[in-house]
Amino acid sequence: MNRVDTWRFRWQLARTIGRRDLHVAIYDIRLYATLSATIAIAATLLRNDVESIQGNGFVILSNPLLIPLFGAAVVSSIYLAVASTTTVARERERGTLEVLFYGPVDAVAYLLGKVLAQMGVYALMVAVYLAALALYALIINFVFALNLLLAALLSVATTSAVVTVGILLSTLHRSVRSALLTLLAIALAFLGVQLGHDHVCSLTSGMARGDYNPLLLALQTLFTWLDRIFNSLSPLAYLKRGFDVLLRGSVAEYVLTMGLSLLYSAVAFGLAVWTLRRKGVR
Amino acid sequence: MVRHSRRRSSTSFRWFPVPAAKFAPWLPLALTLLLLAAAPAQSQEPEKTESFVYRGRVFNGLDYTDTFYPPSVETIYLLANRENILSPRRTRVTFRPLTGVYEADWTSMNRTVAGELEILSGNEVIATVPQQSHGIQSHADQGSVVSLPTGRYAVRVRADDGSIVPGSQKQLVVFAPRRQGLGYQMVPQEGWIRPAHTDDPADVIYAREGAVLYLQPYVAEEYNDLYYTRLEDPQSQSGRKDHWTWVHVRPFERAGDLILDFGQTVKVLAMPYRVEQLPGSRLGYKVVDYDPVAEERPPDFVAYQLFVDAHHASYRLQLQDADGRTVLGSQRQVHRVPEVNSWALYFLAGLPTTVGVYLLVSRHERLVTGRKALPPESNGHELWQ
Repeated sequence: MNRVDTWRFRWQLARTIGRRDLHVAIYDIRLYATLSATIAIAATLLRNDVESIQGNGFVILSNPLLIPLFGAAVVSSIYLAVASTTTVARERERGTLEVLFYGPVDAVAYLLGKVLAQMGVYALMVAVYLAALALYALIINFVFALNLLLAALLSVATTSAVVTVGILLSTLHRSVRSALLTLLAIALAFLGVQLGHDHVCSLTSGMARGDYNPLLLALQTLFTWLDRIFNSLSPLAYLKRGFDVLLRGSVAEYVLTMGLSLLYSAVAFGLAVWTLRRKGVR
Repeated sequence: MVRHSRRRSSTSFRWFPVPAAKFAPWLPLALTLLLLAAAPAQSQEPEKTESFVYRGRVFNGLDYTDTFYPPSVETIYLLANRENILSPRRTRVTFRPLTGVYEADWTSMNRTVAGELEILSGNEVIATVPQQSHGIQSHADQGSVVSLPTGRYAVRVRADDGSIVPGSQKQLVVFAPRRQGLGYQMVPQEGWIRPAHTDDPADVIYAREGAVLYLQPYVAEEYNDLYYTRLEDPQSQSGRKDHWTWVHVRPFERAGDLILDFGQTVKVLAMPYRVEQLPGSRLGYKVVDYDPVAEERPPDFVAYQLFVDAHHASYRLQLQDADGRTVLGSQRQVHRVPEVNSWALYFLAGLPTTVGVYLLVSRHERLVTGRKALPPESNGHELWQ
């Protein structure tokens, strides 16, 4: 079998695995609960806008639907991060991964199938959000702008980074519990660094560097670096940056953020394949 | 056939995040303790330190504003091709931890530092500006007048003995607006709340049915957010270099008619208005028509009145100048927002869960029905085909 045939075969396998996982996800009530919760958040944000308009007589807004979509993308990313983190670990824990690999399946095809399934779920979620926002725009007479579609497209790229990182974490663990604990630990570390950085910045706000307590100076340097590292590693930071770029209308930065997110996904996917091959299927 | 290697499937491969995960939950606690250890430095009594500072009188696009550059400020921001005064001084400076700013005690010390202001581009001195008395907007001050084209410079003070005054060297960023546009200042008829502004043509004015709004056109300039924020408040920690901010610099004087376009066009004339305080316990103000015959005092403002009626869900407005030409960047969309029952918005949120429950129930019923139809020896795999 030559290289092209190998990839064609992998693609067929990935589609089969992806279809199976997507089928499982579609019959999971948590998906629908997440959709409902997210649309309820969007409804609350839009209701606040409407109340403000009715109360003040008018409000000037440029992209009132962009913030609800951002909220929806964040909630969906968290849902998919959890789903991706458990997906490989669960099959390894149950032994189905080993059984699957006795067949013609390899790490690339298997993990590609997992990514396809999760991205299929996200595509479904985004379609529902866009439909809901379009309906809201119709009811409230808000503008459904083109940049909403661009934002949705960008969120697909940033979510692919979330999904591949989740799958990478999943390949590292033999049980769902340890995989979820790692995800929780990482989330707490991100939160800790963010809060710590904000707190140190508030302590040193406006102060000349020469007037710092030496410990404070060391902490500020540490947190600034940690914040930079975490911001370049967090897929949600890419999502936030992308929406920010859309609000500013910078095409070049939009394309750059999209490209970086896809590159991030490719690297995380490569690492996941490498890890699964090294760690094995048991 | 794709081959899969399980060469290392039974080895205990170690990976960094697994042990790291054990310690990660303790990370926030450890960092919090460190922060608490650092915090007591804030409770010390503020000391007054004699320092070299710059006092500024700078143009912000609209008028002149007084600024103060303590030693903590490393960069001075000024508008291009405008006269600004920088005055080198010695004063006592105190840091206020609560507000996070340095304050000058001008009453205890306000000494002019003799010398000339040198402006550098790279390492080369491109101008030397002596200090003299200036009267900008009836405000007499002693200092050096700085008016430069856009660019990055440095400033420092060379004392009369030829030495550089310690602490006087600072970076100087001279900037210009990115673009000019037309903004509107808007107030509703009732309430007379703080005026709102729309500066970007992409803004949409969302108004309730029956709202009466008053629009005053302004010439607006768009500046770099960080630069402009630091120009007005050199010690500010806000402002972003990748953001832009609009500043209303002056009223648009050559305004003609406001054109409303909803399939057909309607012209709105600028009219004078008066502001009335609401009587009794009601707070706020009301905008009323100005009668030039009956009124003794001049009108409070001149504006275009916009009535949001029930017949048009959305329309476009644009301003013409005195010659009847459309003013660039004056277009805005106006959308009428109806009263919406909140439950109607939340009803939509319940739909996905309803669909999910329906799918699960129908799948369960399909499985049960299918299983009953199967022969007893079947393992049920047929149902999954």
